[in-house]
Amino acid sequence: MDIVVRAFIAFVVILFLTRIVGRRELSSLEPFDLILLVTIGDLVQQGVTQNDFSLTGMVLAIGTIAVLTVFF
Amino acid sequence: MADLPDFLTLRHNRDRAGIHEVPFRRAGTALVALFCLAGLLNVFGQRPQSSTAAVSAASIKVYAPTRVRLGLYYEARFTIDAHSDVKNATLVLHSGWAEGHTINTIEPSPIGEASRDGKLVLELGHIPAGQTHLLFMQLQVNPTNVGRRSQDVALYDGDTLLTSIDRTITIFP
Repeated sequence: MDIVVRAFIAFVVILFLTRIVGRRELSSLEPFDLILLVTIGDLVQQGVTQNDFSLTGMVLAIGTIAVLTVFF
Repeated sequence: MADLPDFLTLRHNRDRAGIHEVPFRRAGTALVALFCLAGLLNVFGQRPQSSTAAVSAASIKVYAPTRVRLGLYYEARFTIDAHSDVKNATLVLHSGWAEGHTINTIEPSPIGEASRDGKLVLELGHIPAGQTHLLFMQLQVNPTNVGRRSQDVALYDGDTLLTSIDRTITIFP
């Protein structure tokens, strides 16, 4: 159950960060922003899945984020 | 302006007539949401559960998850309450406790470890009447270990069986 909660928190944090940063258009991204996005993705993965190597965990994490995307 | 290609029709490609995309998407989203809800309700682990067994001489409680996923760390806590003197408390664990697992540590370390009939034997020593012995096992599920395994626990005083607990662990892929 923890992985669903962690995915939910990660989604809310990322949503909050992207809103406060303010740049919403891909055309305004600089190379540094792109690297930052990849870095953030890597850091988020560790927080969400931790040591879970399972397919079940992967589906739960992706599913949670996908369902939240529909509602936000 | 160029004509529309033959294979495009306004009815189908602009008005989307006959395409029932939305209901399928909603059903798919609901299915994924249900799966996540099941995860939230501990269907796929890893919340620990208690199992207990007691006799007049002693009682034993095992607090550990019964459903886990590959790679997860988890703790198993064994609580032995001695109602009367247990001269040589011995825990006998089914091989499912070690099969496909990495045992990171057992604290406090048992006095002795052995194998009995394919099971793990942990000698804990003397537990005086009225005292509690707590044993912690820290485990990690190996990434190749999938399925259901028995994790029975038996408490002996020397060679005399006091009580036992039948447990099964389910490891999700």
